[in-house]
Amino acid sequence: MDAFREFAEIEAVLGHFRPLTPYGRAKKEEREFFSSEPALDAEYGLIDAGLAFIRRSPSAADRAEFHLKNIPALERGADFRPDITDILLCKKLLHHVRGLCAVVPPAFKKAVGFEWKSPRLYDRLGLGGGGETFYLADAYCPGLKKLRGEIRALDLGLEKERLAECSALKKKLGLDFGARQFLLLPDGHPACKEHGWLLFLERYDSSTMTAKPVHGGEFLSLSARREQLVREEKRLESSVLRDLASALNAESAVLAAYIRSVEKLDCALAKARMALSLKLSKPLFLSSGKAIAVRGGRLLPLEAALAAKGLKYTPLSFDFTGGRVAVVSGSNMGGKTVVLKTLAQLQLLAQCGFFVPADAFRTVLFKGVYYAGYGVQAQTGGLSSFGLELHSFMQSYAVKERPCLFLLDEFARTTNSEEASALLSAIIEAFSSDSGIYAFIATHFSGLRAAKGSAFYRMLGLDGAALAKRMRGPRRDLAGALKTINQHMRYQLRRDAGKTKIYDALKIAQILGFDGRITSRALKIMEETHES
Amino acid sequence: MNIEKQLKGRLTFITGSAKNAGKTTFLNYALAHLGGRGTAFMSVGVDGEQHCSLTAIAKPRVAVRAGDVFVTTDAMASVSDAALEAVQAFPWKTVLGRIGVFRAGRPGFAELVGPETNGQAAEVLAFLSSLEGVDTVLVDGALNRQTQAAIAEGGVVHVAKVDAQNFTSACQQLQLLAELSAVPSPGKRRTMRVDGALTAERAAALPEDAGDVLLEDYTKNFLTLAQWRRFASGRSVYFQSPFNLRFIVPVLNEVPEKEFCRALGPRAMRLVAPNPFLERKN
Repeated sequence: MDAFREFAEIEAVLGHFRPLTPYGRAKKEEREFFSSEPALDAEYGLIDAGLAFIRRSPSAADRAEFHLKNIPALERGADFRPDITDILLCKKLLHHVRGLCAVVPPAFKKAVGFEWKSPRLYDRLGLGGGGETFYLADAYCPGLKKLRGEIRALDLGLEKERLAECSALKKKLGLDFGARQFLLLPDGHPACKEHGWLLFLERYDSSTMTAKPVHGGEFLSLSARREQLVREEKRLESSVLRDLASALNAESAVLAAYIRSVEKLDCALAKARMALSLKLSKPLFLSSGKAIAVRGGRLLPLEAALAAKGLKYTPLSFDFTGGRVAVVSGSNMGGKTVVLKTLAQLQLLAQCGFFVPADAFRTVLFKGVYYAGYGVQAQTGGLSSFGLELHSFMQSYAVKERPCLFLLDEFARTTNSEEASALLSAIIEAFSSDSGIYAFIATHFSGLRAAKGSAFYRMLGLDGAALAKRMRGPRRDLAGALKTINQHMRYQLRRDAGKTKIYDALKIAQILGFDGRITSRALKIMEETHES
Repeated sequence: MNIEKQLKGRLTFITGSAKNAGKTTFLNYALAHLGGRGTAFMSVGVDGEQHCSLTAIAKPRVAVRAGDVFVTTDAMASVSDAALEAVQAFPWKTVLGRIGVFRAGRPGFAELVGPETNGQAAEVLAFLSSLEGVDTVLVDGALNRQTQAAIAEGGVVHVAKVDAQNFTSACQQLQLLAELSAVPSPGKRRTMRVDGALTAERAAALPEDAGDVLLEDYTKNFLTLAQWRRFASGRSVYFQSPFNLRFIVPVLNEVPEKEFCRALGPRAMRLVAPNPFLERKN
């Protein structure tokens, strides 16, 4: 699957899928592949609901987005601990779930399983104030109000004592502590000798003393009493937190259901936004055996790259009615690989539960999708590129789930053409004889044998006549050469008997500015070969 | 120098020349003048604990006032006596618990624990700055975390411990900071960009006709004062992110103040705020 994903350049497209919640983002990382029609129907239904929501109520959809962005990450399956941040996170979750339930339309809520069941819990967590913060208010425990009242009174008393002590120090010693907890007094400062035990002095360095006020008995007594009350307060708060944690843990199934609904809603809306921004459409799944068909299929990374260079992009529109096994031939740079990549991207997006970049895409639901060919990377060391291709193919072919899709791009390109053609012909036969295999094989090898259930197609290639009229000589710059090729290459497919030989390679070499003497000589050699 | 005016309504990083330079003490002083009125603060690393875990030197706790917003962990919040309201919880957990933002309901004390990475610190700062009612943010950096100071657009207060042993090097370092703080941003000037650290080797390797030079920020300078002066003479140097050094707080130990002023020189002395704890002889 990794090789298929890489070939399909799927990560570039998935960069447009941007869930807003930690749960949606985690779901994205799963890279789920659906091979069940009911599951896919459910996914598409959610995207449709998301699209309807965004189109009909854009401001409500914006509010939903606000709530989703603020959904906190709770550890799934973990119990709530009796501490203030766990309670806060749960309160935040409830606050935003409640907000979502208020703005998401009823049908969409039902589709994602949203049902607000926690008004009492929400109110209980909000005793210290609504919104997204959590405070252990007096209302949680009768004893807290009295205790905190006493602590407040003590705080006032302590501040009064502190101010009185500071005032006394200022009056007697001329020292204004203000809000400072200590002062640095140079040796010889009168306060060092005359402090009358109002100060605690410590040497700071050889010429300076650190001076701190010595608190009187009243201050110390108030302070001690405050410490005692704070300990009692902590004891009551811990008890409240334990009760709250128990209440949350008792609701864990409901909270887990909220998280599942948030995840579904987040992913549905993110896929809907992606569909709108990239102009995606819903694919249609056919029963196994039917022909795959595409209208306006776009390979998104290539479309973007060509647009950036001011080059034209030709979407893929074709019905592969010739058989389950399609062999695509064509000249170099003619678009064979792009056809396969486009199909790969469309199929993978469809089976990952996304809409696809095509005006229409009719396909089969596969149990597995496999790629072998140019660029495949394997874990096995010590193999040549041909060896890697074979290894990758064998691993995929050994899997017996059906129906499945194979994409082979320039398979066996690095071996001699006679053996490669033979190997490919045998693969075509083997695939064709297995009613559960669909395959698209891009190759430049000619003379391949057809089999029942297979069909040959050809990229139209360079428009030689138009090229001859307009080309004045090879382009000296690569960008210009690519533009010339792009302008004169016909990126369309045609059904073919598989016997057509294509001779665009030398023309492309000329456009790219290859040594003219060598290309002329090559043309001559070809003429001689044909004559003989 | 009006310290409150320098800090109010701004983001300020409190950096120190070394551990136990006096950053938390200065933070407490600043909060006493600013606290409870739209002020948020955090540390980078563990601070406020009663003893430094590395040196066992006694450290002051952070005094909080009603309304103060600050960053610590759930475990530290549970032992604070300031009747805390939980405002935000981040997904990162440290050995001391999950990082969160809290608001004090009454005066008390707290132990600050901050995020562990620059990215986390930036996220927390963004949250604090977005809080309604918060207009002043102070960041107490542990050790010499000047890199953090370069992340966000904030100013720096540098607390410098100067004693008899490090007197020369400390004064030179402060002079260097003063000179770096005068380096402007390039505007639309064409400059030669030097990415990464400016070491003596790299400085020597620059062509003589390199023209105006652009560095990322002051933390990328690894030249000594003398090396910097040689490098900067005869060319214009710019910082992509200028160094906004608000002021320097010297913590002198066994160093007479007059000697310190003389060694620092008038340019750097312009940036020196008097030690707010030093009571002068009448």
